[in-house]
Amino acid sequence: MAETLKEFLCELATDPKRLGAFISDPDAAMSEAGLEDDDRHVLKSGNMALIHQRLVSQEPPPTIVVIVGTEGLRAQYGQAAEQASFVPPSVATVVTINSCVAAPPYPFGAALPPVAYTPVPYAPALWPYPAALTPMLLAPLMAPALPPTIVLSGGFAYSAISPPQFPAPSIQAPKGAAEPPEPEKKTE
Amino acid sequence: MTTTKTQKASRARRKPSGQAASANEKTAEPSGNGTAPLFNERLVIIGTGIRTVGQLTMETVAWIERADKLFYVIADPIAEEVILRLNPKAAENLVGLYGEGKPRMETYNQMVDTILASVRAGNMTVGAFYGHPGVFAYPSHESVRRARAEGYVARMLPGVSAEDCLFADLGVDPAQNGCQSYEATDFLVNGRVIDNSSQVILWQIGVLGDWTFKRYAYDLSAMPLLLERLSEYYPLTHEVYIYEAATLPGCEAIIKKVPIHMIPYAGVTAASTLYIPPARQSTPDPRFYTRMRLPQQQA
Repeated sequence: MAETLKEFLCELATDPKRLGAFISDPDAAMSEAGLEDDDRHVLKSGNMALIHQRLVSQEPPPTIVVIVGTEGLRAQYGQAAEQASFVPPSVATVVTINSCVAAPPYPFGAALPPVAYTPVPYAPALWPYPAALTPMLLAPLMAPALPPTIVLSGGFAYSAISPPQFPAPSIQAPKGAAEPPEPEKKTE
Repeated sequence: MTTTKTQKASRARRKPSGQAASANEKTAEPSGNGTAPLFNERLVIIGTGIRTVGQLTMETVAWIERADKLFYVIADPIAEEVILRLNPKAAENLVGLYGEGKPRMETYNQMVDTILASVRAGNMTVGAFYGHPGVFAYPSHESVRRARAEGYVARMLPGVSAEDCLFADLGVDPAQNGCQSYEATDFLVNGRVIDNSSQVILWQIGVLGDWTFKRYAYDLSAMPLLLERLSEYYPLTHEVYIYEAATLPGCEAIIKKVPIHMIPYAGVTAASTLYIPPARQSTPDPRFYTRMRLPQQQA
């Protein structure tokens, strides 16, 4: 019997054998389940928003723009950005994501509204705003405040998505430092 | 002997509403001596993982089927379908307790009250949350705490959290250089301290400073404040990663690499997490290093 996309994915979630078959040969598994061509196409697209929309048959979300005034901070960051030799793009463009005006052009320091937009209705947060829990969260600080001594790793090559992995530091005992005692040998 | 205890546990589970927990149930803390009855939990909190297809554990499925009453807070349609298939009579969705603009804390307390009321009524109650039920999930922990305080046996089962997915997708190990992890708003308002030689993860940057529930968009007017705070530890050009785990099979995680000053414009969503790689190498402390029995590197 033909399954809907939701039924098919539900089966994959609870049946390791079917999930294994899907991983081995997605086309065969979808064919065996009798998925419609549209469902197969959507599932193979790897597009989360598209699959989610198919699952819930949801209308596209409305266009949302949140306007925020940040004049003082903009000035501050504009200066910081200049010091960082950052050249903002000069041409204004509008970034559109799924028919939603997500973020206007982002020349640094311009009057731009930060917007949090989710094309797919996300799982609601389960963690409260800390102010409501301040007594619980106000644990004593365990470390002293560190001075903002920042040493850039000059010439460090960042890979496409992998953050840098620093080598283990080379550590030397200072001159005159006592050598650690040798472990005691067991006498038989 | 075992049979007797199992029967007692069974009776305890079916106890009518309004009665206090029995002495047998008061063994909420695991004794580990083999004398406590097996599976006499009155409340079990489970997690469905971030991607239900593949991250739903066998134990989780078993408790879903076992529940007399099953409350769930899940937006994933597949996880919801799984729950409704496995135990349709017991399932009740608590997402309806959220309200547009309603303080989330109010909703969480209502969730806890609902779950506890079921426990007190004698139901073997299961609370299902997405991800890991104990990671960034106030109502799950609070339900277990209160149930135990009232003498009921309550347990939380681990699930796959967004942090687990992040380590796998970004290919980073919290053991290398260490890893600090803060909720973004908590980091801002409670003066948390960053060691910029370690990895840092800031959670919920997409709901920064907004303590109400929004279905589609949160007001991120506090985002510049986060940048201001981060600039105390990093140059604004330091590159960070905005991460969003994949929730559906066949989909890739969303990973955006941007300099810090571009965070507000990188399409941050409520599901986004900020990963900050170290900005400098670790500084060894010879005072303690030389006092440990570690081999010294020769010059």
